[in-house]
Amino acid sequence: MRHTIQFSAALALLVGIPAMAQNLNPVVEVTNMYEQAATGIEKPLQQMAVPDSLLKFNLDMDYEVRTTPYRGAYEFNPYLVQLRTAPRSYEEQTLFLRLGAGYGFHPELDAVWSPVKKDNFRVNLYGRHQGYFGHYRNIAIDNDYYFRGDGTLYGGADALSSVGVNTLYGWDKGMLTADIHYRNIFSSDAFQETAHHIAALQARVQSAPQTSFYYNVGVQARHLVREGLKETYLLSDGGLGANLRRSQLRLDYQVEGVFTGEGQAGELSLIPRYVFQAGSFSLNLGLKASFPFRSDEYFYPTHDHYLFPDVYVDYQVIPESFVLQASVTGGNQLETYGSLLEGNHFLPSFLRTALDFEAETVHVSAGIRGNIAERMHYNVNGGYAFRANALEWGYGYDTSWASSYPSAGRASYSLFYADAKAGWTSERLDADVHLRYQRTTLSSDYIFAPPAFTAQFKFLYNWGGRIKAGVDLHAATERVLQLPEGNTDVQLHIPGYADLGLYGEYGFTRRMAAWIRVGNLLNMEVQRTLFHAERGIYFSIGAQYSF
Amino acid sequence: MKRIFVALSAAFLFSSVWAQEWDAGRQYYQKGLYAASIASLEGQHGAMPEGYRALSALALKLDNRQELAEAYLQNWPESVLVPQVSFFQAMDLFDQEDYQRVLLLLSSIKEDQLQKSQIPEYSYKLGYSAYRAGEWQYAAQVLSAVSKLPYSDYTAPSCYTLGYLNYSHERFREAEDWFQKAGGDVRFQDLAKYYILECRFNEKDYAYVVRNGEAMLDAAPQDRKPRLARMISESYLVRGDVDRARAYYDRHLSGTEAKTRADYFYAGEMMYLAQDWEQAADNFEKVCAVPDSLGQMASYQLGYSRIQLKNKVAALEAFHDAAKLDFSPEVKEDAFFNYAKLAFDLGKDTAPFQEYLSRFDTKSRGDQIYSYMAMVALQNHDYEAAVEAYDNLDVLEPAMQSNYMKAYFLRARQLMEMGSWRAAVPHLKTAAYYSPSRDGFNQLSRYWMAEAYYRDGKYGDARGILTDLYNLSALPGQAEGELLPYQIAYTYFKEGNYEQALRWFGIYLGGRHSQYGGDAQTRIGDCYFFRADYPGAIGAYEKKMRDYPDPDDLYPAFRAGVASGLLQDDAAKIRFLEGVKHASPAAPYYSETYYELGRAYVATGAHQEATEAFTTLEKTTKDPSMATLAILELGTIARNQGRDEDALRLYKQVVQGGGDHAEDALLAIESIYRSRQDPDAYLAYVNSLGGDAHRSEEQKEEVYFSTAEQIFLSGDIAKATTTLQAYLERYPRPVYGAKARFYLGECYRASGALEQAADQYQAALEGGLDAALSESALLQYAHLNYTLGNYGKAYGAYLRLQEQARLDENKASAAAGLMRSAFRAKQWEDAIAAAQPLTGAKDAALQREALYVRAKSFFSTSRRAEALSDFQELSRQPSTPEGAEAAYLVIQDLFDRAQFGQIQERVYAFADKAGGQNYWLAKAFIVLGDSFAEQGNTAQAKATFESIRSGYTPSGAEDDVLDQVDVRLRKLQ
Repeated sequence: MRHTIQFSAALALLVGIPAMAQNLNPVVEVTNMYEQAATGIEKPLQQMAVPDSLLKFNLDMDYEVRTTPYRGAYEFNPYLVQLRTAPRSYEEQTLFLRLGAGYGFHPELDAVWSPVKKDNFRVNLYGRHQGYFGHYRNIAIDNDYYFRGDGTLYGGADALSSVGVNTLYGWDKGMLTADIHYRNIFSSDAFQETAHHIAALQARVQSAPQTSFYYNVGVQARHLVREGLKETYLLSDGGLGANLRRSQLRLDYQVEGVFTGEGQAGELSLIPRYVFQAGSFSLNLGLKASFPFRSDEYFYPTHDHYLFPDVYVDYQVIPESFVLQASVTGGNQLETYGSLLEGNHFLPSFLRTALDFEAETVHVSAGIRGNIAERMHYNVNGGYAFRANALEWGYGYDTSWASSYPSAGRASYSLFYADAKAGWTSERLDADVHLRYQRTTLSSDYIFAPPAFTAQFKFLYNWGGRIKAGVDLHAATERVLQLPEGNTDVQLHIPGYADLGLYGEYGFTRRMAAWIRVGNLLNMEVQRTLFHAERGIYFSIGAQYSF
Repeated sequence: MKRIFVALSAAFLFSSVWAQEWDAGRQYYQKGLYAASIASLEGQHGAMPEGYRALSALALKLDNRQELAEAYLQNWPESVLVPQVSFFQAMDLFDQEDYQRVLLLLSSIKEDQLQKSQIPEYSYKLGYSAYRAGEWQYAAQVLSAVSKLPYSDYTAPSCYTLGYLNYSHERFREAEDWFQKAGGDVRFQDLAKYYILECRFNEKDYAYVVRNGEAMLDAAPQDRKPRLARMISESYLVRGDVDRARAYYDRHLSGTEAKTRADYFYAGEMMYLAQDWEQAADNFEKVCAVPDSLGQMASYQLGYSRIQLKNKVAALEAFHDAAKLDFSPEVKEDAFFNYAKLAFDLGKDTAPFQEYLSRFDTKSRGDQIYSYMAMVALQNHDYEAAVEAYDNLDVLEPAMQSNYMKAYFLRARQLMEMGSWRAAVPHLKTAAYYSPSRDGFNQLSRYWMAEAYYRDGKYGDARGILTDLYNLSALPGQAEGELLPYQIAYTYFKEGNYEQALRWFGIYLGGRHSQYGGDAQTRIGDCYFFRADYPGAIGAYEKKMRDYPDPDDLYPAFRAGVASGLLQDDAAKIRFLEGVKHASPAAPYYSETYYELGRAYVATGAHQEATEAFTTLEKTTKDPSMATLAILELGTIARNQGRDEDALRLYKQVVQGGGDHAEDALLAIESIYRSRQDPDAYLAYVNSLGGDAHRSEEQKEEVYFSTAEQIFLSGDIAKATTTLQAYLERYPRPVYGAKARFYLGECYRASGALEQAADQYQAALEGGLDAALSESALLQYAHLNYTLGNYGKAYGAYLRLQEQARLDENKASAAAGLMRSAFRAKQWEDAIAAAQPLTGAKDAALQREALYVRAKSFFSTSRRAEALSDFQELSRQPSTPEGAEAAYLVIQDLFDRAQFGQIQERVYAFADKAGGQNYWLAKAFIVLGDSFAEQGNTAQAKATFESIRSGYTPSGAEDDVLDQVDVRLRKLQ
């Protein structure tokens, strides 16, 4: 701006001479900027002349929405024919028949016929026989104080025959099973020949596992008739309770009674039980309250126990594979003639009557179970039990050992044991092994302690379902008479044995097969029942049919 | 114990001297005696007996089997029987078709946990369950493994399922292979054959279908027959045998029994292919209602059918329906594209196109769309829209380039005509981009680009282009080519490089044509003048006055007079300036010339003439500063003539008026009182002035601004511009800056420099203009932006104005401006909202305009029904521009709906009442011609178009009627 003023002053100097003469400077042109520069001078606006060609466009374009070429009318939409797979057939058989016999006459029969197979209901008629009719080795004590065969034989028999009908009805909330049968147990040895006639009925109704209300009620009635003996046995057991979300609360019970001409005995047990899971633990906590009753003092009278633990604990170390287990249990066992006869068909040679309680005051065990490679299963336990008034097999004699005879007696003792069971299950091979070691504090001058070791195994191999071959073994170490302390008598033995057998089966068709079995291959003196040993090696052949 | 003895006794029967307690249960189970197994396991507990009990229950299918199995798996997870129980539980669930649980259970088992004989069944049922559960990939993987196992009962089912899996995934070749394998099993023979046929069909082996399908058809189950017939029919169709195709259709698919949607769809397709569009559309319409894949396809095909029926409006709806569904991405995309195209065709609604482009990644379609939009815009001479569309193109096809360049050029022209020089530059640059520098269009574009630069004050940029063009001898024979030196000269002139300016003006004047010769000659005089070469200047001005005489062009005379004065040649000065006495007082430089004439008279002692000159000036000038100067001069003359009282009166009049000359007047008054030796009187006078006698800087600024304001108010725009600029330059922090900028804005606006004016208004508003002027500035700012095509800015300004305006008039301007700018900015929703209140305006024209804006906005957003309602109303006034356009659009709508029958009647009715609305009437007749063409009446169509061509006079360069007619006539030839 300064130069503008200077310029203006100069301009005034040049053009304002008259004013200067008047000593005035009346013209100060502050707005005559245009005089020294082009400010304010604007170029004329030129009108744009647009050539016609600029206004012409190439508009040759199809403005219609384009039509697509024919794309086909078919829109793929899968055509679904929903094939239904036929329900799986489990090929439930209607008839099964298996029979056989051979040298060393071991006739056997197993027949099952299912005339009713309707939805949830099944009825089976069955008939079974297993027996031995032939020579037994005469057992006598030798110079080594072993009860062994003396080289002589006698004729005898051991046979179990049964016919019956069982039924099954399962519905969504439970299941009913029932069985009624007649059973004949016949035995003949050097001391007796006895036929037992047993009629039995048993039934059980129980709830399905997932139902909220838990019930399990079983009844059993058995009537045994033997010359000079009639025994009726009644039992009801089971429980009632509630299945909660992850636990179960129930009250188990057992009431049983036996009625013979000599008297009656029975027991009521109540077991409140709580079953639940806590993390990897599975606990089954029960407490058994037992109330035995009896008709006279002949029975095991003085050591009544009323309360027993009934506790089982599992701990899953490796889920679905390895479990630690432990239990503390106990209880009374009502031993009747009928129940003892099931395990020893020659019972009349040992006892003529039997009715008493055996008590397992406490039984503590711990072990492991699980599987290896999901094929082999095992269950190994060790434990301790105290048995009171336990019936064990022994001997008696009239004048000397040479004239000894089978006998039995009751004793109380502690039992320590280790027990291992294992098995293999596959399509080709079924194998089971059971090994047991046990030691007792039993001491008696006429009752034998159980064998220290027993070993049992069975292998059955299957070639394509047509050929089967198996081997089995039942072995036990000797049984020894543990004399009471201070007793100077000699120690008596029942020798150990190994009963080795072979089995073969050939299937002609899917329904029919022939089989052969050879037993006691080692021709050993197998005193599975004391003082009773079959003659020796034997074989049976038979056939099997099913449809 | 007693219960175990029972079991043992049974076990002994089975082949060994010893067995586990549960062995009888196992053996009975293995022999299929499941009930016996359960009975034999009675009372036994543990993993194995309970496992066999659960397995037996499953085999017996007891009602509680699942519960038993579940309980077993829960209680004995470590048992080796778990895989078996799980397997058979799964088998049982498979029979119950509970495939999800089967999948879960079988997935928990490994093959090697099962018996070998169970593996095929396990794998098949696992795969099948996966398939039924929807896990198809896994199913395929598992079932493929089954097919590789030794042949079993499950091999064929696996192959079949794999075939179906591939088939349903449209892998027909693989599917056929599997079906071939499955077909070996008699259970799957028929089905496999059918599927193989369908695979072949989908593989487009139509010959196979025709060859094998007929034999298969008779034996096919009833439910399969229509499907089979359709494939055979379509195969014939594809092979070109439409008759046999239709025969199959008629025989098997057009029966009287209830049709499914699929049947209608196929019927639609058949009719479509038989070009029976009505029937096709009827059938497709019956399928569209359900929003599934078939519905989508039907809507899509319906769209095409309606296109063939020329009913674009209905076609748009159909395509839109198809585009809403997601079942087929391809159909969706194409339907959307067609919908968008139709929306654009029918209502210029670009939103669907924009949505299309944002939703589908289709670059090529994007270019196609924008080309199409540009083409339509060009057809309508809407260069703004064309340029907008072209802006979105990345690659320009050579065929498009010519249109593209022209569109940008013409849009630039529009902007320049609006005064948007700055905005025009990029358009011109783009226009020139695709043509070589020697091309006439390129040169013209660049010429105008230079002009735009010049108008924007970028003289160097302008000169660069102009010099280049000059060196190329560009635009020969054209006015622009001739003007190149003139334009170059001006760039130098504006930069003060008078030597170069002088040269280039000289070159221009030496040329053949000198459209602006007078101006160039004047500028030559200016160049001399500003270089202080006054004789040269005088000579140049004299030449201008001689060669281009104009009594009202006082500038050369004024300059020549001043130059003569500077040369102390007062006589010459008087000679040059006396012309002012014959000029109009409104002529530029009238006041300045008179003033200088008066001063020249004073200098020559012609006081009488001088007094007359200053008196005339004082009375005629609208410039108060000039009037003040005239009074001051009159005072000086009175003083010189000894009329001190008159002099004092005149000087005091100047002092009284304030202004920048008051100081001079006060000095003169002091001088008079001194000469009278009457200082008291002088002091009394000074005291009477109070503070006005000695002004502070603030007062001086006020005086300065006041002077400028007075000049502005006098209407001398050029001088006001200069003075206001000087004020703003002199006072960097001006007290009256906002007001000065407002006045400057007014000056620029008056002189046509609209962009600069807008800048000044904006600066004024930002500078804190007082309320009264603010309202006015905002109004002008909004108006200017609207005029310059900055509709978005205009809309914002109108919005502010609407909020701030106190004057009803401005409120009304804001409302109308808001509506117009929203409409022009294509802010359709805003336009509708702004138009709404104005549809009830008292002013009929404004009301009509509002209705028009609302209707067009509805139209542009595809709200067709609402738009047509408004158009119908507007069309009742067909002699108005809006009514005429509305009448045309209503007629066009009939055409778009294929209601050709009504068009002729409507057009003639419109013609009767169209008044002077020839453009829209002509457009309506074009639609009439189109409707004749669509109905196959080519002769009538041609006659209609030719009558338009011969009878129509375009209203201007942007009139597209004849272009439209030419396009149609070309098509008809």
